[in-house]
Amino acid sequence: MTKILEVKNLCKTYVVNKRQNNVLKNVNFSVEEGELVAIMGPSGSGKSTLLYSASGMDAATSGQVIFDGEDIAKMSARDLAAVRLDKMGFIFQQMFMMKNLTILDNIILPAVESKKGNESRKEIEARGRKLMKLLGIEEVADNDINEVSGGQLQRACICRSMINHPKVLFADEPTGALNRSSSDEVMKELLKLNAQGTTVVMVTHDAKVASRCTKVFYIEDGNIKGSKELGRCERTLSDAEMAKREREINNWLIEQGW
Amino acid sequence: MVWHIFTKDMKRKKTMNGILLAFIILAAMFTASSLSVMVSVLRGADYFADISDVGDVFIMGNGEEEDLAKIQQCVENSDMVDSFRVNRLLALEEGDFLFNGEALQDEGMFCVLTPSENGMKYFDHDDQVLTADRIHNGEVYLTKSLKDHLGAKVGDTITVQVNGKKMDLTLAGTHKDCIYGISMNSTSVLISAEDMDSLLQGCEGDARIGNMYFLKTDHPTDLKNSLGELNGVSMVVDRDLLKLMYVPCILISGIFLIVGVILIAVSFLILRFSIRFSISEEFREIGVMKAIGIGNFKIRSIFTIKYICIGIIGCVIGLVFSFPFATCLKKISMPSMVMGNSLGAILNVVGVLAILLAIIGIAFRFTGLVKRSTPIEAIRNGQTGERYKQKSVLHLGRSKLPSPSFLAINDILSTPRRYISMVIIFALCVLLTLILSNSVVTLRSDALVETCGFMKADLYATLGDAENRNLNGIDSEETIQKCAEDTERELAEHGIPAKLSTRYVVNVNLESPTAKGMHTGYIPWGSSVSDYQCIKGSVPKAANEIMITKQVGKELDVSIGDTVMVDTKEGRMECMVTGYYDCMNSLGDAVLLHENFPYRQEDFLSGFMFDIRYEDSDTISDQVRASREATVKALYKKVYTAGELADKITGCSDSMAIVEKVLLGVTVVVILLAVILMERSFIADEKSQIALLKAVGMKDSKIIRWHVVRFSIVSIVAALLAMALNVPMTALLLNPIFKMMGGDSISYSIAGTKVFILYPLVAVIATACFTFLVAQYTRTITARDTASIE
Repeated sequence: MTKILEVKNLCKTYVVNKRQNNVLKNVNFSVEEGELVAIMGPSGSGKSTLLYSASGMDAATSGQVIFDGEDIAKMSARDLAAVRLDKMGFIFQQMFMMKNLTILDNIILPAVESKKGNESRKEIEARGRKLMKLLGIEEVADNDINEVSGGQLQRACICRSMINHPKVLFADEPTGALNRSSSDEVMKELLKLNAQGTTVVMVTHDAKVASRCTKVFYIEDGNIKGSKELGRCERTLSDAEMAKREREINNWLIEQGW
Repeated sequence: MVWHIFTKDMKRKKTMNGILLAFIILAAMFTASSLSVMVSVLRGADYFADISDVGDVFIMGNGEEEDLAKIQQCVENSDMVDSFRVNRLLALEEGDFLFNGEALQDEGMFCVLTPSENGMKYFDHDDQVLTADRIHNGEVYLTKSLKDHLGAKVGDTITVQVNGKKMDLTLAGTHKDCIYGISMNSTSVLISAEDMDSLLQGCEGDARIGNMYFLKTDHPTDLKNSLGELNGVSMVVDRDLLKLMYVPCILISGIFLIVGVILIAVSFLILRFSIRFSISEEFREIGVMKAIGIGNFKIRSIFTIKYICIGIIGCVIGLVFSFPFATCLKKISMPSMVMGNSLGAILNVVGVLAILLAIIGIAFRFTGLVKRSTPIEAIRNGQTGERYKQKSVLHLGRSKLPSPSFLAINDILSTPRRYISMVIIFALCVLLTLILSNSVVTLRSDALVETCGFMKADLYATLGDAENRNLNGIDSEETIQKCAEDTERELAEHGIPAKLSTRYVVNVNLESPTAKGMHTGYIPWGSSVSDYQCIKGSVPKAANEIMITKQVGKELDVSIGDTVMVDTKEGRMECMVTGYYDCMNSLGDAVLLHENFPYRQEDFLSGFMFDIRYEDSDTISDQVRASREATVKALYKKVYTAGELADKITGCSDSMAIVEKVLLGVTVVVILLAVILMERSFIADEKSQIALLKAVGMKDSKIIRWHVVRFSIVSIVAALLAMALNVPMTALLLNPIFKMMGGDSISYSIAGTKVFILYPLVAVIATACFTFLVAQYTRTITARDTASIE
């Protein structure tokens, strides 16, 4: 397996009111292509900061972030934007959308911006609709964002993050703002994407969500305290086997001090 | 929480609050000072006349000693005269003055005067009384307009020559003169009493020597009529006529008032915009306050207090600035006038208080938004800083536009209400400059010459006899006849086939069943009354028909179809009013008589300007016309095109052109402030969307382009709106001002290039550039901010 993301000695420091706050302290980890990785940890441990720094959404104070063979920590804002557009996808806890665009237009906007393919707008639109169909929200394509449910909106966000066929999909608590049923639906979609070959790196508080991942990192006080390989969570697993994985991850988390 | 929101707002929105403050300061300053200047100008002539001690009626008498003695006797013995003051006068003509060795041209009559205890008062440029002892021998004071026109400096030498006697005088400064400071055809020159004596020596019996009398009376009209009939009285002016002479100044001060009103409108729109944004940003706090039971009124008060505070600070600063600004405006609108009004600072305070009250009202009105949502709606809507009420209009998949342009257009079409106030603000700013530009072009336009009471002609000229070509007034029918014939012959010799015509200026005593009065009458000579413009009704077709201005109609309480009694050489004649015409040249106090009107010889005053009409005018090319104009101007000294003549008569286009440039600057500053305030508001409101776009990989440059295109579209729409409205708005705002100047039917000229290309382009480019600069702030928003948005 090839490493798609490798983080070396990553540090992130914030200065608030002249006080230095070291949020990430020499973090090292790597993600291989096709993995579904969860980052867990208590509140304030630096999970989201790690996700944003590792994805180039935020500049690291020091260290290296090798993404697809390139150190994105040294890239210009312009190049980084191009990487985010063509090679990365993002799903946020808050379902940010452009207010004045329809659901479909929100989804296809990154594709319109991308220079990766030579598709016409019609082709892009068709692809957007296909993606929506895959995620079961094709009926809300022409709706405005205030006309759909939270679950539909988050699935639309997933569609948007997938429209440019990213190599890695970063998700910051993608189910955090959803109820259990919507959360399950979203996770199902992420698993489906991962099964199709998309690498997924997500921050989550939910052990049930983490139990579906191939690998879990536990971060505490700005350092990765431990990691756990869970192996691929096949769709054929029975409920009992799924419950076993969940127990296993819960026990491991308790060991880490969760 | 109340205090928390207030202090947080004041700290966080320093720029926006600062700009709002700047707008209120500008609006308060312009309104207070324009109001003060307007009232000063409207009451200014009376004020200036009072402090100058010119009485209620003033006459100029010059000529034979016998006539002067009779005038003196009448003034001293008249029952109607309560008291009088007198100044010695030497009425010289432009050829009698030399500057830099050259005889002055185009200045009309020079009244050489000397201040005296017994005469009217003159003032220096600091509005201090210029007493006789301050004018030393060998010194001369000119009016500011003459000094500026000559390009003379203090210390330069002006030479006066009378009867071959030359006197070199040093220019010591400028003075303000209530009577001649404003007159278009005459000006005053102040010298010392000793120099005056020296000039008058040996000139006894000269028609140019005379006196100016300033009479106090309770019967100005009767006194004016009785003195006007005396031989040697060359000018009789009462307060009403004096006030009319100052009317052109109203045009400029009126423009400033319009600027003030437009700035108030802009400030109020900015205030509305700012309140709406402020409230939408604080929606969650509003929801929380509602949820814990704080009443709507109290919540509204938090926002209202903020705007009242800014309003009070802005109005106080604006009030302070309004005093020096008013002085500055007064100098621009009427540099040769000592202005003041008995109301003093009260006007400024009243203007500012009115604005403050309006601000409080608007603040309270628009904070009504607080009432419209339930606590939970407010909390939910405020949670993401967004209110999902927009409706997408365009579809990205079906559009061929690049993403930034698509987003910009879609934003505007999805939430048009949000952009309406922006369009109005920009349109008002552009409109301001367009109206000014139109007024300057109109004041210099050929069309205005007919509104000034002239007929259409190719050129206009003040001609004299063939020898000196510079006689400033033709005082007999014979001279006019001879002058016209000589000139026609001479023009023909130069290959210009032309006919000359003029109009006799006569005193006309009109009497209607309810009123009577002396008016200035014009009788066409060498042309027909039908060559003149009639704005309503029809031109006179017989000797017993007249055309009057609306002002005269109002004074006499007559209209078209009514009859008035007129004194003629054949006795009293009943004349019918057949129509109205405009005569700004006489400030609306004029009567146009038929060319065969039997005027009395004693009513004849002079001829007034020759009209030169080419016999082949309809067929010549512009090139030939230009060449002929050059030839005629080389042959004679005072030759004008229609536009030049209109400009000379109204006399304020130069000041207006300066005001136009100042206002273009003001417009650009207002656009800058509006763009900073609005773009910063938009950035604050759309922070999450900007961060999102960055997170999905949109480049900074494209986000900036999105914002620039959006504001550019708004400014283009505003410019188009301003262009569409410029003609009706110019007429709406300037008609009342021109009406006061005697022009009831103004044909406005449009400054084509400026109105349809230059100024709208300046506004659009300024908007785009300023937005581009302010939008650089979006670079500080990072993709990471998606995580920190509340």
